[in-house]
Amino acid sequence: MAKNLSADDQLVSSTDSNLDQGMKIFSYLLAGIFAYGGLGWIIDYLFGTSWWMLVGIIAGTTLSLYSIIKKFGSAR
Amino acid sequence: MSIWLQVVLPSEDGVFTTPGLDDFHFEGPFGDIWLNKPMMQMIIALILAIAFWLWGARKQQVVPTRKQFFYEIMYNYIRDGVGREMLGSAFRPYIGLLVGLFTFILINNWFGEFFLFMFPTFSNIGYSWGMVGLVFVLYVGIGFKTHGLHYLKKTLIPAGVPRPLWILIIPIEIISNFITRPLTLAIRLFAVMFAGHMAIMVFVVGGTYLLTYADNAIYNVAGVFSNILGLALMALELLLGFLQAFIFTILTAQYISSSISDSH
Repeated sequence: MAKNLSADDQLVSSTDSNLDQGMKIFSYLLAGIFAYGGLGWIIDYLFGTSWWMLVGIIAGTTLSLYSIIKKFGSAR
Repeated sequence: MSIWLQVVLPSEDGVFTTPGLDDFHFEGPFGDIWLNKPMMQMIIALILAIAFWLWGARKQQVVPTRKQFFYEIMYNYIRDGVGREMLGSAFRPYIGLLVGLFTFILINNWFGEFFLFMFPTFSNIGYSWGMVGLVFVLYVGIGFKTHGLHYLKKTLIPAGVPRPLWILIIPIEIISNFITRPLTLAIRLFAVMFAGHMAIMVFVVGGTYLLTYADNAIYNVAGVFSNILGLALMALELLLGFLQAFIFTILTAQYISSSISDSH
């Protein structure tokens, strides 16, 4: 970190990294839904069922939340 | 020539047509499909961006002139605000890329508010995909170049997750790192430019229609207000175009930074 940042600069920098962290978390959430919802959709498509996609979306969200907590939830 | 100066007409045969997706399609003026208005804007923006910085880099002096001072402020804004902030001491190889990306996207976004163009290039989603494709190749390439095959291990295996859960988490990591991150980057740029252009069109086209409506003074007054609001929206779009160019640059720097960093 640069030493002589003014208070103003630090304000800007913390917003920047917050924005990035938010985007990362958002992309994890989406990824979980896409991955397991997609898997569920494939199973539904192959076997003619209709509830695996729902299960997949819920499971994917859960897993995403789990890995978000693991990754970003540590005490700073 | 009529294609270049393409204006959305408020009405044909007196029937109002709402501005819609058709206004985002352009024919090529030279009989080609691909060399249409957005493509030409892209080329012009490229030339403008190069010319802008070449002109700024001419005749540099130790004691800056007013012009050089202005250029240094802009350059430093990206270098310190984005490069140093996101990439730390390793920012130097990427600073040209970041400044170039920012200028290029800014010019393209501001085309939406300038005469002759009046169309933000990135409101055609294909151009957003192109930009993000470049960023994707860059950050994945830089990751492999820095870490070799360890890059895959570094990005895909989450820290602090017990081994049996890896098989469940790794698909999420793959999709998150290689699909949804670039996807959200592209869609954000596209959606903001598209929605802004659409809103301006609704106000200006609708306002012009009302303004020229015969024998109804109330409609005409409403048309005046609608056009004024359209102008205000354009001012807002200048700000949003700047903001989107800046966010795109920041996130590019961030993606590169997470590719070259050692930890997760």
